[in-house]
Amino acid sequence: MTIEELDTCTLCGKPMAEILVLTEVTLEIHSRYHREDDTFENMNGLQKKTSEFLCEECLQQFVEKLTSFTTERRSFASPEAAAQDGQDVPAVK
Amino acid sequence: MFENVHEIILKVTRDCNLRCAYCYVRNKDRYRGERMSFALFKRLIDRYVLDQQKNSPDRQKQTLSLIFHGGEPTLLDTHELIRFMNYARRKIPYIQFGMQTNLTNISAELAIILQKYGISPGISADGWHSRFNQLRTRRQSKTIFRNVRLLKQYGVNCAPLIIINKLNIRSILTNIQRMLKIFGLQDIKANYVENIYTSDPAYPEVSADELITQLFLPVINQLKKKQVIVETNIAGMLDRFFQTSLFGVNNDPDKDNVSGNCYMKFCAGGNNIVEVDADGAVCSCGRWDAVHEVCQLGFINTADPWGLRSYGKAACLQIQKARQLRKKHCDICPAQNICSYGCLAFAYAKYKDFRIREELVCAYHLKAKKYLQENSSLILKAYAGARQWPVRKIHKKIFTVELPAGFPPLNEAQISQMPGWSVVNVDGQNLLQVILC
Repeated sequence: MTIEELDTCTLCGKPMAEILVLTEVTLEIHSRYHREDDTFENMNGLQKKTSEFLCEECLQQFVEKLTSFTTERRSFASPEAAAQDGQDVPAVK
Repeated sequence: MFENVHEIILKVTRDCNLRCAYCYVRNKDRYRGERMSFALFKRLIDRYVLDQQKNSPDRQKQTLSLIFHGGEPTLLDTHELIRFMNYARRKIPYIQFGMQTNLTNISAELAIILQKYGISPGISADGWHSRFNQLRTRRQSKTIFRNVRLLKQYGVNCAPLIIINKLNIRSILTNIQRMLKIFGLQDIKANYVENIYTSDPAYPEVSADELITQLFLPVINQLKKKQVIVETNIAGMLDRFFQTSLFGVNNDPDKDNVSGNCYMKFCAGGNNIVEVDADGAVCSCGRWDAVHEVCQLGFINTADPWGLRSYGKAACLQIQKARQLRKKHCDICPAQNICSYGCLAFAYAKYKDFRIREELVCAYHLKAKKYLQENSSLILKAYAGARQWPVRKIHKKIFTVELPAGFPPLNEAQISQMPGWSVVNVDGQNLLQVILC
């Protein structure tokens, strides 16, 4: 889909006339199976590459939620990274 | 939700005029009179078109198979069927239609429609004689085969799907051969039944040993005698065995390698194939029949930005499969390249947990692999004949096989592992040479 074909924000439905900044967010996901022999194998086409077009409010919310998610996950993976981010280090991993 | 979908199993109704003992659509009585409305069908098609537009241009699908299914799809009014197909074709010019039916409810009018829309229906029939079909119907076997002839009169070809069970396993090869004649086919698909209503390996299931002795070996012996492969699943097994033996394993993790829907390491359920029910529910595959929440992708109108929600569900299912593959050490199993890996949905319905049925799937494929390995040269000669690869006899115990254009190069390291096999160069062309032991 191209920008010219759009009428609304594809998430919240805000009409194009009311949108100040339109952002195309493309998500490419691809899952691979990690075999016992330490090689990777495709999973019968388990992947997607899709786009949504966000108004400025949806973009802001999207960035906030994704950022908090990644920050939370980093705190589990690496206490040092969590400390760098200014997060409390969890007592139990 | 439909971004990756190339096949939609459309259950226009879960109502059915039969009560097959092993059907995975449970409690059919509650679906009496259920029919998908045109309004809902229209929303489905519109939703599919919208989801395709979300794909990046290089991933937009160019094929879609819409398979009318059920229950029994011929219970849907023929005028509605036409209305559905006309609308779908207007919106999706590249769409192809199919149907899976018990063939008891066919009229000349429907035959004309099937012919006009290019539908070659799949038929559920377990054998040519009523005694083989008793788990489906006690009275309508003759109707089924009469309707096969009716469809043929209108130029409609159809193909049966046989469910192997205790009633037909003993003479399954004869059964297959008679069915090939009736339907005018080269091969038939025969899946083994799984009794999802009890956790015991119970009637009408057959054992791995029965599958080997009554199905696999007779089909292979017929291949050796007549150079034909009459059963589709075994043909697939042979294809995978020889592809690995000749070319090695080609599994590029970065390629979008869609190799099939069902009975493979990672099925396409919820990803490339989905089921849509008459009430608009979308799920990974009808075999789950709502026994587990993970198979339920939502409804036709469920919001699914980026297709992420449905992707998460499909991935969740495949992660369960991956756990079982690790648990069973499938990656180092001798039969890994020919195995079907079973059906997670049927196993879950039966045992209420995720598993690969060792006593059936593993036992069957390990025995089959052992046999193929021990008889590879003779089977190769017959297989090459069946696939119309040129075979030249050099000597009483030596022959060469020429692979047609379009195949990958022969993998010499892989070939050298097979007893008596080698690659020889004749007039600038690499041929496979086999010395019979």
